[in-house]
Amino acid sequence: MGRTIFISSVIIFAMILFIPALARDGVEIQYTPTKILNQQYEFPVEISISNFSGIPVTEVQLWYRWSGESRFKMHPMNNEGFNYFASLNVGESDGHLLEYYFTIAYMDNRNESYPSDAPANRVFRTAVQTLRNYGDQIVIISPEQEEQLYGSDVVISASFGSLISMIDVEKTKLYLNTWDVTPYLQKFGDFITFAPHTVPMGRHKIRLELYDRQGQLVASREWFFTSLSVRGGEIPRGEWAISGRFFAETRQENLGAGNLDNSYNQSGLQLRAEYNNWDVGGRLYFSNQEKSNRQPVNRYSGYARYTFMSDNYFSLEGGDTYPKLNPMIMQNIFLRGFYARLYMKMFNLDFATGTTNRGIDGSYNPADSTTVYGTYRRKITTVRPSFGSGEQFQLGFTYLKGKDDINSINYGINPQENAAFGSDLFLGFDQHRIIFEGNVNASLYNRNIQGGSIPFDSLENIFDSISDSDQEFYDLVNKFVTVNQYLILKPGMAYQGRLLLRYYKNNLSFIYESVDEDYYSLGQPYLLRDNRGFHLVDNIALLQNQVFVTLGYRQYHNNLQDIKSNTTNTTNFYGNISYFPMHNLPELSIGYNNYSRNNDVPADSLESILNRPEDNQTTSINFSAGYRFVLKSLQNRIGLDLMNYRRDDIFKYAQSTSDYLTVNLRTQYAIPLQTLLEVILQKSESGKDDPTLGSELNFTTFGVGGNYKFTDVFTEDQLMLQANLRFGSITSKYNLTTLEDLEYNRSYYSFRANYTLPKYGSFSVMADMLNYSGDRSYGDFIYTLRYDINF
Amino acid sequence: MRFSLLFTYILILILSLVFMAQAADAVAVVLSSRGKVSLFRAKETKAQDLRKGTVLYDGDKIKTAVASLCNIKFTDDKSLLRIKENSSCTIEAKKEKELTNKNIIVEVGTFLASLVQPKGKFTITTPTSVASVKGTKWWTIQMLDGRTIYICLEGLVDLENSAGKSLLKEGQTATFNSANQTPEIRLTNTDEIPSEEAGVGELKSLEIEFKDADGRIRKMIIDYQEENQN
Repeated sequence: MGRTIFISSVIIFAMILFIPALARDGVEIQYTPTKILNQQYEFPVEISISNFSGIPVTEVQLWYRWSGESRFKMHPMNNEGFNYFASLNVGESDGHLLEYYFTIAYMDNRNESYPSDAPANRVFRTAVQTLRNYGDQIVIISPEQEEQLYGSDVVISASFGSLISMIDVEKTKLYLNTWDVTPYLQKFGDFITFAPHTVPMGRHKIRLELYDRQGQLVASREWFFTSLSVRGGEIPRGEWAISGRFFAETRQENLGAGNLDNSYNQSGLQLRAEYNNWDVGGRLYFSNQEKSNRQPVNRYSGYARYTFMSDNYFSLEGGDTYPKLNPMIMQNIFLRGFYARLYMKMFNLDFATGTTNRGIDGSYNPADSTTVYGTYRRKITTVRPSFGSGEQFQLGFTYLKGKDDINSINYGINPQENAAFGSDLFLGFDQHRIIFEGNVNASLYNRNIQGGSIPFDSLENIFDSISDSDQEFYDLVNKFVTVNQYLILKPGMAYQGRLLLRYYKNNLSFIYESVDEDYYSLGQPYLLRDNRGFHLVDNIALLQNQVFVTLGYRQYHNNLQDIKSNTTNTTNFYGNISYFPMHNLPELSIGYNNYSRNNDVPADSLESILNRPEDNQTTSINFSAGYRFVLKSLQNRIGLDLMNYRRDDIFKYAQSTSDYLTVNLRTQYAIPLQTLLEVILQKSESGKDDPTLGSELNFTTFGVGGNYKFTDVFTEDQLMLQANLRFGSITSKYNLTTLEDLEYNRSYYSFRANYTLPKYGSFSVMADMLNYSGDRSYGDFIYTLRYDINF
Repeated sequence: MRFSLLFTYILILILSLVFMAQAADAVAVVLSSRGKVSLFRAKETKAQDLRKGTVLYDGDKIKTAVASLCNIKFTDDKSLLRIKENSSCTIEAKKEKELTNKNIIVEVGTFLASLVQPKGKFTITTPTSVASVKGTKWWTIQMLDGRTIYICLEGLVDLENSAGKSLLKEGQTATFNSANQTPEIRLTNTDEIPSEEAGVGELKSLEIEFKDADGRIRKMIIDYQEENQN
């Protein structure tokens, strides 16, 4: 049994980067990494989770950052059937290499990352070519940016002489606010004009979009002007502008060939209203998974923001909030309470208070004298005054107090308390070509406050040499945390500094950070403690932003307090070069990643009994290419991904190699039909030279999909039909003859129908089926009904 | 023989089309037009009213009547040409890749040229002289008596005629009395700088409140242009 588990874990390790990958028992994760993303504002990310564990997934989050940034940002993923999806807005960034990973939270409060060793060791990387800033080569003829002119005088005109070889002027689009005025556009070789009879009073936005012959957006530019009345140019005061979204969904799961039935019902409402300087809104989310013995699933929040004196503002959020104060003290954690912010540039104040954990009681069974421990309600209060707008300068000071409420439950263990103090600084010079940002933080942490503080008198009785100054110190510390035998006396330290230089097409980032093992902040539970090192990254843009080069080096080590017998050193070197040609040539991306860990413990030494030796090196090389072409009036994009992964390890059983190939073809037909053909081949070997633990996995998948859009079916409506089919063949072979080889097939079918009627919303029916046959045999079925409306 | 003749006709036709196509480069757009402004397309004698949004081609001729005004912008570099009342000019513009060489052939009238980041050549040709610049703003006034006056507001203006070359600096006024005389250059008297809007009646509005059949108060707004008083 133990061996089976071990072999399984080896397979998991070998497969972790690829698809499919196994997570916790009974959970299978599928993700096909996108290596190249070209000419898009949005980066769609979709991960498939087949969950047979019986423990429902509560939330899947996408964590991402641009190469060179120090911290990951979180984006919650939405769910449809087996799939979780998110769309990152990459259009407004000047980054070129996106790093990301996933976290999956289960109903039993367990969390896991995917890849499993992310983000410390590995993350996914995607070379991103967002829309090049060819917009700056669009010459605005009229009206000028922020020009004020009479409504009857408006002529919209722009030229693009330097782009004519790249664009198809007939595909040019022009929007006045949200109104598509393209039909009224006069298009010439290198410029366009639009002369409306008149334009209503007020501030208006113009958006010009230029496309190439394949319909890819080449350049876009937005600018604003104000239309005045002849009577003196008074801009009308705004009225309430209300927008929102509502959805309701029911999802029924039949898993494990009928052994497990789940029913999920959820609905949500988002509202936003603007009126002059006011911006108010709220969000409600209800799920039938909300239970008093679980952490909150329902979400409710409301906010109001008042802008005054240019862009100063005061905002107040109530309910479920995600305050961001200091990346090492308060960030990326859900807080149910209040979050207030006053932003006046010279002086700003952030304040948040609320609970991060709901109190869930444990239980005691007198029959067998066993106790199941619950979770304490955890209260957090944090404040950050800061000085400076954050554009060129900002200095902030953060204080956080977190404490478990020991009276919130009857059966619990180790209630914690923590106080953290920090200072952060931001400096930006030369139009942000030079940026320095950093923070220094200290924490006091008590890992068990049950029983409260030990009175100072008691300490005096125990320790003879206590002085008056010790009492002052005791009183001081006791103001912040409970003083007892569980208090970590030495404050934990965490600091981080980042210098960013943007010169000569280089984007050089140097990060140095250190987090003590004893540093805790209950407002930031995701820090990798006992870790110190640096990270150097350079992103270089060459040949008019056609070639992007990324070179990075990281070096970290643990054992900061020198109390462990060995220190583990981690180094990571990576590079990526991407070519996004200006004209229709193949786009290419080549990446290299080398990651190694070593703790200098010999494999056959006595020491290895107590400390597991680590000496491994993981190397991955990937090559990706994509090409758009027109064949018989069909617009196609063919993509190719090759990846080789190799791990050398001091232990033979942990050595592995993997090769991965995927080819896909996306076709847009003249009719509103899109199709996808995909072939994925993967071969992995783990512990090849180990006679007992070695295994081999072969994975072949063929996928086909398509969607067709019907428009004006009954009235001005739209019907979208979508089907995706994937057939996979998997074989597992083991070196150990007592283990039987496995051979099974995996078939995945998904169908979608979406009917949209403007003003009345859209209704979707989704069905997902997963079927295993052969040596593994079971099937899952999920169907979902959903209604959405935006207003 | 017939075939050769036919072939020749076709060739001529194709060449003509090619020529026409080459001549049909759109080079500027009319931003505003007030009063009576006429447009004569190249090789056309019939005038058409010039309206905002009209696109101008090489060879187009523009004529403004009394109390009229026209603003045009060239599309390659946003060079602005303001043509005031009682003026007449022909636009010559030759495209070369991404830039356009512009020559405004002035017959008579008052013109303001404003160039921010010129890409091609920009010249104004009058009966007496040629003014060329790179990055400047200046007035050209062609008098009915044949004299030409240049008033430089910003930058430098190169002036040239058969008598030689001169350089006009900011704050200076040059007067050409004929095509074969050097100009008289002196400091500009601020009173002689034409008003950018003068010569055009101002736009005004009249608001009239009234009750409709349901008793609701309605407002009628009439926009109108005043007669020029200058």
